[in-house]
Amino acid sequence: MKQGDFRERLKNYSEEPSDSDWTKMAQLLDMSEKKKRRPFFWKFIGAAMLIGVLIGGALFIKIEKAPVILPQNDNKKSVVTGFSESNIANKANNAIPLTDPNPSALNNNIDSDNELKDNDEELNGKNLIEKTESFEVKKSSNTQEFIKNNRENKSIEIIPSIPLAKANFGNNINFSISKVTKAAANPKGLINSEVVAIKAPVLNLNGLSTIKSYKLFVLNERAEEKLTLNFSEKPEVKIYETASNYFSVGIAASFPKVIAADNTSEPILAKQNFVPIQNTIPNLGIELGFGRKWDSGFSLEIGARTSYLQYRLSKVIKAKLAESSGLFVDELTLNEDVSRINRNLILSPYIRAGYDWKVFKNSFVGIFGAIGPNFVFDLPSSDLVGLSNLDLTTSNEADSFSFSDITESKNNYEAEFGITLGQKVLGTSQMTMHFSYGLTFGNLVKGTVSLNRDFQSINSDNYEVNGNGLRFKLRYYL
Amino acid sequence: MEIHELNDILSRCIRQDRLAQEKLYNYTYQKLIGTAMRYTKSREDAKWVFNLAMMKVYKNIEKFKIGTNYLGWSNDILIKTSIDNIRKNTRHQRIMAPVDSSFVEGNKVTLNEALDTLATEKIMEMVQRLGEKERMVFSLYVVDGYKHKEIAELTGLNLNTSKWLLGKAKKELKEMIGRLNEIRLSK
Repeated sequence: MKQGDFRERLKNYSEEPSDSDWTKMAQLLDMSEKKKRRPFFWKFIGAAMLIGVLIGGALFIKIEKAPVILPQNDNKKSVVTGFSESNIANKANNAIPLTDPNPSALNNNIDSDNELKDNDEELNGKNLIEKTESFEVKKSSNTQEFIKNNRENKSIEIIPSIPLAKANFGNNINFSISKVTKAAANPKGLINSEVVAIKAPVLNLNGLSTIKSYKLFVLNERAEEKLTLNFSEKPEVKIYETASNYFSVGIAASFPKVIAADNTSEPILAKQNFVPIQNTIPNLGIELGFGRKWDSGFSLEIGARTSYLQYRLSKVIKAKLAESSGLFVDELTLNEDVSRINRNLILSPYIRAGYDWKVFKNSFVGIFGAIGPNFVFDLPSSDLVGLSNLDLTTSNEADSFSFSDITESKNNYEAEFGITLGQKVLGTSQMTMHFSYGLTFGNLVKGTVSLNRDFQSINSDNYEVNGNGLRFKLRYYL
Repeated sequence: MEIHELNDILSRCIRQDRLAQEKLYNYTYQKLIGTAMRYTKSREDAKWVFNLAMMKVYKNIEKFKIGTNYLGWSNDILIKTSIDNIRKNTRHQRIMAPVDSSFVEGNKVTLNEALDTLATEKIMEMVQRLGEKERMVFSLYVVDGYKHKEIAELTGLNLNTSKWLLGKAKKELKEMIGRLNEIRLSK
């Protein structure tokens, strides 16, 4: 019956691995490699965000410093075709004599234009943004007639405060050219088909937009002592809207929901699944943004919100365990209330667009929408057994219980829509309240929490944290 | 496996060649899964611990001097991983060792002879039935040839506790063998 030295036989025990053994090992290796790559991924995301912010900032600065008046070249491409010629009727009572046939007047006007450029980069302390629009001259009678009393004219000066044209833009911003201070004609004289550029700072009636300059393509016809301007092309107008940059800081509260989901695994030991202690969990965070707001009410903002999420999964384990030691089997009864507290930090960069309407002098209402990704980071979790913070052990201390958490999905996208109530405070600063609804594409967190006995999973439950729901924000704009 | 073939596989493992990693895994598994089984209570546990050890092997393969004893090196890793695993599993257990451990020596010959008569799989099964620490000390002392002092250093156990656990393990094995014989006789 003797089979030999049992030590040697135990030492030399040999067994062929199955295919599934290597598969499991390969999975472990994959996970390890993925973990190694993860820091790089986050560094990449961080660097991309930083670059984005820098480019965005540079873009804003560039816009601010860009020349406000662009060269008024004859840009036929921007001219809308099909515009019917409308003659400018001569009106003697509006006739304006060309006051200065002196060639030096042209130079003065050119200088004036340059001054205009410099002076108009800011209006009422706000930066001007160039926006090119085409407009249609509604009535030729609104356009000032130019009378030429000198065939060698070199400049035209238009008396201020005479309306020239009225236009209705596609975005329904009504404006009228109510004031023209200076204009420059072509130095070579006004001859047929020659382009005359006129630059004119214009105040808008509703204060939303300011026409800084426009150019007219004119056909110059001489009729005795008069010069009649015929619009032969659709005039091109450059509108300069006022806009300003801002910083915003705020606090945000949302209320994600934790739900048990897809519990496909059969509980081996514990019959009850993990259930969240609370269905709705407060998710508090702070929000920082940098944006630009136009006087029309439109605003565009980039920023990031960081918030803290904590939720508890709990269950009561009632089970009879068979503790074996040798051939003897002891039956142990287990009755423990166990729970796991998960903690996450959520970083949510976003792009936000909004539109406000004034309701009173210092108050406004608005709507906004925002989109962006959510990056969810794990913070240390806690396993609680009763009141102790130790691993669950049975009465004879033979079994050790612990939790492990596998988070399947943590990164997702979200959209947010809401309304804003705002009030101006302390000069240009604003305090706003935001009521919104957040819609998460995918779950904020989706994971599996496992109860382990001696580090082997005996029960797994799936859970999801759903980010959909109402949100509230309080923001301060600087 | 030829030594040059093993060295080639090890070299490729340094470059994280997945095919080589698989070959090394299969080779090591075949040779050392028995060690993992002696330190764990089930085949599944043994596979888990073995995989943990292999992770360490892959991670530290650059430190291994190719041409030296690979199986010895990886066996050491496996034993230490097994001990770490046992420590984790039993970190809340407090084992009080009796002061007198003299009874340990009395049954030595009888037990060894009895074990020699059993099939390897049966011995393995009995060893796996032992308590975590009893199994660990038994494997370290009886099979892998560590001294109690070394076991104490390696595991953090008290010297006397190590001796007592060994005695307890042997006693339990004897009881198992006794029950086995009873079953055989009754048949």
